[in-house]
Amino acid sequence: MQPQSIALLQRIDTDVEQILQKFEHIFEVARNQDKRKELLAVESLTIESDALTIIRFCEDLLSISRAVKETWCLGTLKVDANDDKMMSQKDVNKVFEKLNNLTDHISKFQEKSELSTV
Amino acid sequence: MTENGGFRIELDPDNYGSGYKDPFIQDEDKLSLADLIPRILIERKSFLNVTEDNLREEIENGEHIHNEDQSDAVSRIDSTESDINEQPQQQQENPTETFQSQKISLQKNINSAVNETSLSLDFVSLLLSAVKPSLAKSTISPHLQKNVPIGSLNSDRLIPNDEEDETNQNNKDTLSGVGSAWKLQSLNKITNLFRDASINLNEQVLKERRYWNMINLVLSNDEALFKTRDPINNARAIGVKYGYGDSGSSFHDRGLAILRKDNISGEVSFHPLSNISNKLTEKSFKFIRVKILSEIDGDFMLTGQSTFENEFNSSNTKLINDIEKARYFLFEEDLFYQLTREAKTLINYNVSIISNKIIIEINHEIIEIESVTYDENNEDILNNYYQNINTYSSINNKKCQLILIYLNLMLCCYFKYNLKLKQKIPTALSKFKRSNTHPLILRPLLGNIRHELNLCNMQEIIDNLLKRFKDEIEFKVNEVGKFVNLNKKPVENPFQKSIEKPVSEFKLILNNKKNNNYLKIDVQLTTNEIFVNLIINLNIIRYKNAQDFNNNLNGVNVLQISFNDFNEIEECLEWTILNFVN
Repeated sequence: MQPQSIALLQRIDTDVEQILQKFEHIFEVARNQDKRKELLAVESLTIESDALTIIRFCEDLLSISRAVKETWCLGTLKVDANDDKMMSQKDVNKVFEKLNNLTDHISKFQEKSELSTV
Repeated sequence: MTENGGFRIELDPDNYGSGYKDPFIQDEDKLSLADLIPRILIERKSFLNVTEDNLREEIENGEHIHNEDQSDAVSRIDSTESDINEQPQQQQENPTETFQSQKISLQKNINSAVNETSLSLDFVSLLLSAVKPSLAKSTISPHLQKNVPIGSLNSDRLIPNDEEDETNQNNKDTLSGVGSAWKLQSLNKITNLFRDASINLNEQVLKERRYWNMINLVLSNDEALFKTRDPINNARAIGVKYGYGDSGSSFHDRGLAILRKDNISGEVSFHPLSNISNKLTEKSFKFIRVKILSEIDGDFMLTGQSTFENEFNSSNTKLINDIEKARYFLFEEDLFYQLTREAKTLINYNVSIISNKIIIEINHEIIEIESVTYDENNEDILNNYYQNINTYSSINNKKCQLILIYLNLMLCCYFKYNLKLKQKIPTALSKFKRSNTHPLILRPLLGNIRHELNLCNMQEIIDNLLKRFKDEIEFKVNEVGKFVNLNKKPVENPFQKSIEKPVSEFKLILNNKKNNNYLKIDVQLTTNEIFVNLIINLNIIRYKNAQDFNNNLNGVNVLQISFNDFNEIEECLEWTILNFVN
């Protein structure tokens, strides 16, 4: 596997892990048992910051998907198997004939007599 | 602070009793008459008001007032001398004494306060030393440091007694109430946050999907994509290389464009970039039109015109059509550029360039290759309706179309050649070739037309000669080999006819009826690298008899010469045949 894809997979893993952790933490902190006022204040703020972190990680997941698509579209090289095939002699001859006909058509002039009868 | 004398005490004279004599207040008894009279005038307004009885009465009253209210200025002035003299003496001793004593007591207080503070600071430092020794060390006094080991003092928080349970319980109730309220608030807030974020992210996902679908569409159209930056806001973007820069074109416009994402809908739009400094450009689309004007009864009349046939609707998405359109017009632009490049070298051969027109004059016909601005709304220009009024005015339409196809084909051929050069291992020669390539488009076109004309002319000359000498000479063979250079098999390059100079041969074998001599005449019509010049190689061999001729023995080479002119060769042939006949 390419190092880039490994890094992307790792990023996905850490993001998901962080999201779950923060979510769990919100519930942990939400309990309200004989805590002092200061702690309660801090905890309620922690809940909000955790929520923001979760949102940020979700956005990060989206950007990962974008990066994957970008690598997929730009990093790959399309190779058409038919491109490599040399033109067969038959085809060459066909084009040759056609081009010769075309050139003949172009290089011949309209009969002068035809025009002057106008 | 007190030691270095930086301490200041401000004195307010009122604090030391109203009896204190200010040195600036003048002693009224010692005033001169000049000072006294204005003063009396200010106080009494006029001497008319001052009478002896009045004054006496006032003095009697004034004594009472003075005793009651010493702060009254008027009464003070009027008070008796003894009164005035007694009071200052008492007061003059009092203020200095009180001041001194108060100053001393203040100093004492300050000193003790300083002492207390430094002690308490020392205590705090000692207390702190248990937790943060380094911080405490810098603040603790040297005396304490010497006598008490650092960190020897500790403290603990006292837990409120159970006796205060009731108030505590109340506190706790309110606390938990406040706490749950806070948390409820936070939870509500984050619920909203999550909801908003999910809506936002959903929208973004939709946008992304639309964007990548379109990018994928472009990709599936076999376009070359690359990473770039949008010149407008320098944001990251995906570009598409729609031009022929990688396919062998040496045109200055490499055909780069940006696929810009619409931030609101996620739709992708196509914007061509100019080759200079990657700026956006508005492309003016131009296409090539071929016209043929023929000389009819002394006038040049339009007898053919190519039409513009591309509708740009091969795909059902606008984006792909846009790319195709840009590519088509880029090719046309490239073609016209290469044509003008080539036409420059052909100016000596009746080819002229006027603004955006290349005019080729040949054999009573004018071929005009014109670069026309594309206007999709103007169908008249595109389909030239008005031109097809009668049969003669459209007689060459097909030929024009064929010429256009030929020009396009030859540019492709040139691209292919360039590409092959690029793929070769670089050597000095191939590098030179690469930087000096020039297309073969107009020259083969013109060359082939001319060659065909030359063939006709040559045929005419030979026919005339044969007619003239048919009594004296028997013509054994009269062959015409057109484009003998193309007869080699197998064909390597299908464009051979247009990239090699044409070679045609006339073969004549004459038999003199009188002496049975044989004359073999080979005429080779060809041209040089410019394709337009006429080169005729003449080779004449004479044999004494039929046997020699058949065995190709004892032939005498009569002439081996090249011509550039039909008149010369006509004369030469005439002379040779005449010579042969006689």
